Amino acid sequence: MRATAELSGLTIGYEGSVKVGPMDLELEPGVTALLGRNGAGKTTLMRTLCGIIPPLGGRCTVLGHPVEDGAAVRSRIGYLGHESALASALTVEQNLSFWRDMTATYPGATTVSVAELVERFDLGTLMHLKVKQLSRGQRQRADLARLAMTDPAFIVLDEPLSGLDPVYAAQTRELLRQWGETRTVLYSTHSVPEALQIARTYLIIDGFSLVKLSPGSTPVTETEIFAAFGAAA
Amino acid sequence: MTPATLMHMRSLAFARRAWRQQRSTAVWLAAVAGAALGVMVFAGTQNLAGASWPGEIGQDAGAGIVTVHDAAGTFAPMTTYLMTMTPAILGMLVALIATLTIPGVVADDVGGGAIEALLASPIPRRRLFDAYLGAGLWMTAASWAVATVTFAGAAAFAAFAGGLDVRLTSAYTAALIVVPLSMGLWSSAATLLGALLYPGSLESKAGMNGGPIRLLAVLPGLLIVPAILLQSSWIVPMLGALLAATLTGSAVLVRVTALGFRSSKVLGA
Repeated sequence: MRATAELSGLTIGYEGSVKVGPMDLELEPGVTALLGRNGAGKTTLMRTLCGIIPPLGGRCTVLGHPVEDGAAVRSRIGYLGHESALASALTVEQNLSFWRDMTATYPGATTVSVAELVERFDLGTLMHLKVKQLSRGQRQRADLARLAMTDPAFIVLDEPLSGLDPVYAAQTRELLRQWGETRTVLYSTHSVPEALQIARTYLIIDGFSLVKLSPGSTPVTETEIFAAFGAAA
Repeated sequence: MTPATLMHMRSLAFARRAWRQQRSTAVWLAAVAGAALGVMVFAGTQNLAGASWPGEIGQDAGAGIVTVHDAAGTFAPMTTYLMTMTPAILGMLVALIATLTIPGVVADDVGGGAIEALLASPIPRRRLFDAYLGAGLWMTAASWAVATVTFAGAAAFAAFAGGLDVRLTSAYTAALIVVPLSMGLWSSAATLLGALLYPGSLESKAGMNGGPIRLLAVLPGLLIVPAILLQSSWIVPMLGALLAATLTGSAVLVRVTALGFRSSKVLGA
């Protein structure tokens, strides 16, 4: 399977302080879970993959282009941060309208209509509510609709399942599975059992190292994941 | 689409969002301040003919860019002086509104996750800051329009009620446009620089309540503009110079913001 992201000697961190790396890695289409302890560098890695912060060293290529200077490739990356990208004082409709206007200026972007997103993410009853009135799950649903607006091929999600009630969590897991059938989905989580339900491949950060676990003839097990934590330490 | 069209579209998108978030500050503050200024200029400015006046106002009753005479035809120096300073006061108001609205918009993006999503987008960072600046300019333009209209309405009513004769020159009309525009532009660029390069500097708990950045934003309005308005002989070229200087200065500030911006600093704030 063709790699959609390639990291080569990549070191990541902030203000010259290395958090993880150097690391070499290839990501393929499908759902990949990113695991690590608090402060391990999961968000830093995801921000680097999306070009939000620059790498400290090495190369990071997404969909065949270096992420830091690939304006065209960034139109095909969808990023969901830990905090919602929606303005809290505005309604869901006003927020989606803003992002529709912004995505219309992305070079070569495929834009999904707001009406289609409203139907796909079941936002009909939420459109006229202010974001600050929404529950965490509702806010996330609206934010996922914002992310899906460009029909991204490479999707990065920072703890998308934390704080969700069981119903929204199940819906989001299903959405990740669907996306993973045709796209590359990298999501971070603290829950190993949950990751085992959704993902095929696992990345474990511990210390400066990154370990990748891919299924061989049998799926990856919980024991292997915890063993990787130990191996990386 | 051309880069200019894209920039315009982004600026409008940001402006629409900023308007929805901050319109009450931009409109009501400007309306109240404009109307209050209009009433203040024409009311309670009597009986000050014996005072000394700066520049050309006190030397020649008809030499300034605006002159006001009372119902008896006597030159009204205090009212004339306040009218002369009105473009500067409106400019200060617009500059202050920019320091109030832009941090609100940027802080919401930085405090939430919007800035991450925007930085992950294919929009070049400098263009992103241009869009923020464009939104700031739309907001300040709206507040300037509201303040000027309410000022003109209140002033016209007060002047009519008091039987005053007000003579405006074309230079004065130009000053009413150029000064607030220049101050709004400069203040927006300076506030944007503070909000993106020193995100902590505009918080209410910052030293002097974000003083240095706000001072930088309003300083030209405090020092330079009043001096220009009192030089009626040179006012038109000086207004041109003011506009050129603020355009250049603002372009430099946006460039400095783009060069000095560190996503890790903002995301860590």
